[in-house]
Amino acid sequence: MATLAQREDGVMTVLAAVSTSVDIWVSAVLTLMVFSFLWRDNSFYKFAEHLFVGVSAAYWMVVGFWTTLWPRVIVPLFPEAVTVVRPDAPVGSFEIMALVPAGLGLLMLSRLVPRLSNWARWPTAFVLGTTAGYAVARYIRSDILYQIRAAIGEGLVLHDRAGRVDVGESLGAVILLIGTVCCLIYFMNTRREGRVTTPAARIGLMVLMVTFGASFGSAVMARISLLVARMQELIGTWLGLI
Amino acid sequence: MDAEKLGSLERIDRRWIFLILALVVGIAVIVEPVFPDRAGELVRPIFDHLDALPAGTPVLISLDYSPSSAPELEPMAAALTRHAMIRGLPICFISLWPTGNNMAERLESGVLREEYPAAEVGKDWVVLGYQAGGELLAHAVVDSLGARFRSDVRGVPLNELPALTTVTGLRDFGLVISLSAGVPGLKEWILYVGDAGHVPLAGGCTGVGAPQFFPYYPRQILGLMAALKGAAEYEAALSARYPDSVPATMQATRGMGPQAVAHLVIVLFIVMGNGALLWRRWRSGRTA
Amino acid sequence: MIRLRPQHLLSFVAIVLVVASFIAPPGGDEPRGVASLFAFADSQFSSWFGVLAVFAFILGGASLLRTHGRRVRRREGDWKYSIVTLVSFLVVLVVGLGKFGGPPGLTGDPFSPEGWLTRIFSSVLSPLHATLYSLLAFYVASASYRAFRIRGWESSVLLGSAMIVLVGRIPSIDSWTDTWPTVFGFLRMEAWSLWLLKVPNTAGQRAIMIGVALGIVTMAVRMISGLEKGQGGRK
Repeated sequence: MATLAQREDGVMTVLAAVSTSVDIWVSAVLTLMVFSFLWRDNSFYKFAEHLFVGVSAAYWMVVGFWTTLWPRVIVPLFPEAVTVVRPDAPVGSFEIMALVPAGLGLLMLSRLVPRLSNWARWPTAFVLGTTAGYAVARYIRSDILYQIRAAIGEGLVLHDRAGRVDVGESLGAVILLIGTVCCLIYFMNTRREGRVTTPAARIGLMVLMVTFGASFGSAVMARISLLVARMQELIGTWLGLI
Repeated sequence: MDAEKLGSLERIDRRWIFLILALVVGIAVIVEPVFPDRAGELVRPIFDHLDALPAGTPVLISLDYSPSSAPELEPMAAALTRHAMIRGLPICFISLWPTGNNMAERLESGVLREEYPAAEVGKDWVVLGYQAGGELLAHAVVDSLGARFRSDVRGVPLNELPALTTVTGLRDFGLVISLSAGVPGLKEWILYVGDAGHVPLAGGCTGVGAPQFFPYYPRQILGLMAALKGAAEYEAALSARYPDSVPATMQATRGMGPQAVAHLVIVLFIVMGNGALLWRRWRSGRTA
Repeated sequence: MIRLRPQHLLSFVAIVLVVASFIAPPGGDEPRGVASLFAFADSQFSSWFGVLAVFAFILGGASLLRTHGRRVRRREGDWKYSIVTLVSFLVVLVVGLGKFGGPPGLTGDPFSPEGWLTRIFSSVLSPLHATLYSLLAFYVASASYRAFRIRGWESSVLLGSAMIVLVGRIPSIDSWTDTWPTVFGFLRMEAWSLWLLKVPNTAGQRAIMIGVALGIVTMAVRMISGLEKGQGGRK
């Protein structure tokens, strides 16, 4: 750490303690390179952007290899390989089922060769089938049935802990139910105009505007948090001003 | 002020706005205002649930985020880790995101080894880490951790980890908490674990994702920490309950000062932008 | 003779998993008989899915090498920056697969604090990732001033609710409003913010959730029944 200090009336005051760590300087310089985009697009930003693309792509591959591919494909198919990583580990037995994901994975890589790329449709079909199969029951239960139950399950007259009718909560439950139904009517009411559906759709639109406003406000909060953290890193960790 | 000047104010170069925001946040970071907070309605149930667990009950924390969301979610992870250490609850870290292993390592070096030097890996905390598969990883370990994990990240077999002696599947944890920045995340934990496996579940999320989780509260998740404010509220509850056991000012609370200042600046920008527009319209209406 | 096509695999896998959701759900009793077969299939399919995810990462990496390699060979566009991408990709790949910085050989933990992969993560990947996303804060501020205009009642409601959430989430505002006289209690912004999120926001989000879920289930059924064109479906 390189300290910037001043002495006044015999008292030494540390103004800043700039870090001398290479890692922190690299981190700070890269941060400033990205922030330079706010002025205008430039070569520093492009360098940082391309560096990010290369590093992150390789990082994901490395993580995937050691956490998943190695224990679930390579070791089951070549049991002696476990001693490369852990010399004292017991050697297991050959697992024939590991051939299936290995085969499907290699078929997926066939996409890189134009003549063979049709074979990649098989692992894609498997992935789509898995996703669809898992999604059906779970979305029906959690996002439809349980949500309907939450909207009307406890009734619309709610009580506090003392057993008295809680007017505020009950009113909230009524507004919630009406709002949900009106929003659904707004989604469905695309062509026909009706004496009930049109005003209901207007209410639904208003509720959705509140929803999107809340989402925007929350999103602003999230982005500001990221900026504050970067500033803390630059001003605190790098320059040592705090 | 005439309409022409107002018009130029409305079309101000956005780099001036960038500069104002950067200066305001930078000054606030240096001054470091600290605002006391308190646990809100959605955060309190998580704190109370964890606080009521008997010592020795393991807790699972899923670190489903990357560095871009760490400013909001890492303080939550740190606060939960401190709470678990104070209460003597072994923690098991898992992740559905590839960056999860490094996020866990940051907690180990920044909180566990630094603030709890007597705590032992394997006994007081375990890192099972990441495996590919997204939400299907969570689905696979509902009944048995061994379905996907043979060892922790250090290579120690599961049956040799004292922290997990009472654990077979996710229902053996006192609480499962997903700190989630996107997909896969808290929603997938709710769909594939909480509702499917009847596992007690709580969540933390970024500000961007927070509004979408309100319909799940309180039946499907027992509580929700939303954004940096949620983390600050949890820290406030922790400080109030265990003032001598935690740092005086923790990460989220330090961040909320500049955050609050930035909020006010954004609100001011909205008011000024619309004020200029309304004034111009009123002037145009008068001269017409 | 029926010619097997990817659609048949898609439908078979999906139907097995839908049936398994009902007869061998997680957290239920130990499956027996036919249910145990479906539970086995469920377990294997989810494991294979994870492995295929890693092959997708590998496919992505290979595509990146091909695209940027072609750009450098042909000197197209920003080809000099493509060299940065290629070099950084290969360096991280070698460092990560070789577990550099740890114990000799491949015996170490690739994510240990001493490892080079962790140093690259914390000094390069992490700050770049975080800073790229933090740029959005500036654009949000700019949009708030220059673009976010009250043009009708819809935008007024949207703006109003955004500002209530923004102001209501300021810390310790409740400590300040606690000191107000009770008659001004209805102005407590943090209470409005929480009510807004718990009631109208929840109503809208719930409706969106139900609509999206219906769409997902419909699409899944269309894919399973082969009505959906494209990968594995009808031409």
